[in-house]
Amino acid sequence: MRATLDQFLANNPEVYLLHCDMWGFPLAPNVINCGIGEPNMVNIAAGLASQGKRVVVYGVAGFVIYKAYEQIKMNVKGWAENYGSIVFCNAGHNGCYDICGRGHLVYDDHILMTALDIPLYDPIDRKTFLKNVTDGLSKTGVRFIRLGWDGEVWEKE
Amino acid sequence: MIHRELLEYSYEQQLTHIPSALSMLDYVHHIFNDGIVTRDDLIVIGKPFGAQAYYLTWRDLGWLDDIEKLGVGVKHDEIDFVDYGEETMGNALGVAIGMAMAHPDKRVWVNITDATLQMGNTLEAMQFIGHNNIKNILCTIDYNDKQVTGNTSDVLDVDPVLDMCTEYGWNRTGCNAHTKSALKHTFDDLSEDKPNLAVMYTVKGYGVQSFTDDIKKWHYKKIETIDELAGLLGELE
Repeated sequence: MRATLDQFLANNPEVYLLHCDMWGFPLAPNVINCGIGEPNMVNIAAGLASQGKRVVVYGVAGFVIYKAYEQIKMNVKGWAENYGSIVFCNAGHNGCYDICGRGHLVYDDHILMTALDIPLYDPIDRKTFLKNVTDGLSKTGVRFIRLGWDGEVWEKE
Repeated sequence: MIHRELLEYSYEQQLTHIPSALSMLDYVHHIFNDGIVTRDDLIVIGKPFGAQAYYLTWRDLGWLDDIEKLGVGVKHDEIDFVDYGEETMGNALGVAIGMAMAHPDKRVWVNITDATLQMGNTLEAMQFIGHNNIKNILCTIDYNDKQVTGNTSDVLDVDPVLDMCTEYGWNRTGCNAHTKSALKHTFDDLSEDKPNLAVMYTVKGYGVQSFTDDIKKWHYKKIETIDELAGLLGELE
């Protein structure tokens, strides 16, 4: 999945990807490691999108949506989404992080995103995932993509 | 003169947060009138309340024609040249990072309060800005050592945060922000190579003894009668 994003970002250098200290992402000008500060990461994404930029925010489990819910509600939804596009990619929906504890469970993201009227997608394969990302970045707004295939190897198309 | 106008305007529009406005009025007025921040720059308001200080400054510059019926806090959906005006506090610096990255050729001015330095999201942003040397950010802090329930230095001291910023590579400067010459000196010496942190040492309710004597009472209070206004104006003189 990250390889898929890598490939996408290499082909789309004008798209920013923000993450909070996740391994596996390349060092590139459009890939920004924000450190483990999810609220700041979402604020940066909002600032970029407010200037018309296209941004992917990558996170795992509930870290982004729980720690930065205020920032999503106040700065992404209803403001920055009107000028640029933000796609949240949230991994861990196959339960791969559950062993770490209940803070790593993602079970209410649907409720939280629905409360903010943010469209939520459950891509079933790489092709659908890429379509969700490209569709989400092709217009202004905010979308939330649930990812749950960590460890699964997809053949490149 | 503008201090007097601020009291009159606050009474006419029945605005709150008057001491907060007086706290930052002198340096906000200076920053815009001296061309430190222009219409070409990005304006990020992390201290939205006490908005009278901004409104009067922008009206004097001709940026705003009508300052009636504006909000008690600055809102970006109300004023077109304000790029972001926050409401819940603590988010302005982070949003400014995104804007500064999108426009590396423009200055991004962020105005925050000292108590904002107690907030985790502000600290995250300060670290990121310093570490990544986002040098087109100019952050001013209204450092009046006051928050709702008391002195900021008593509630939760933020002075060490200023040292943290220096350690992170910010260019830190500051002055008594009610003194014109000190303000000029401070803003003439901004760095072109580092993010700038200008600590504005202010007095909440500056110039009006009733405010400074009972800052808690006046934090949310409006000027309710013309006689009350007259009394406060008398203190200014």
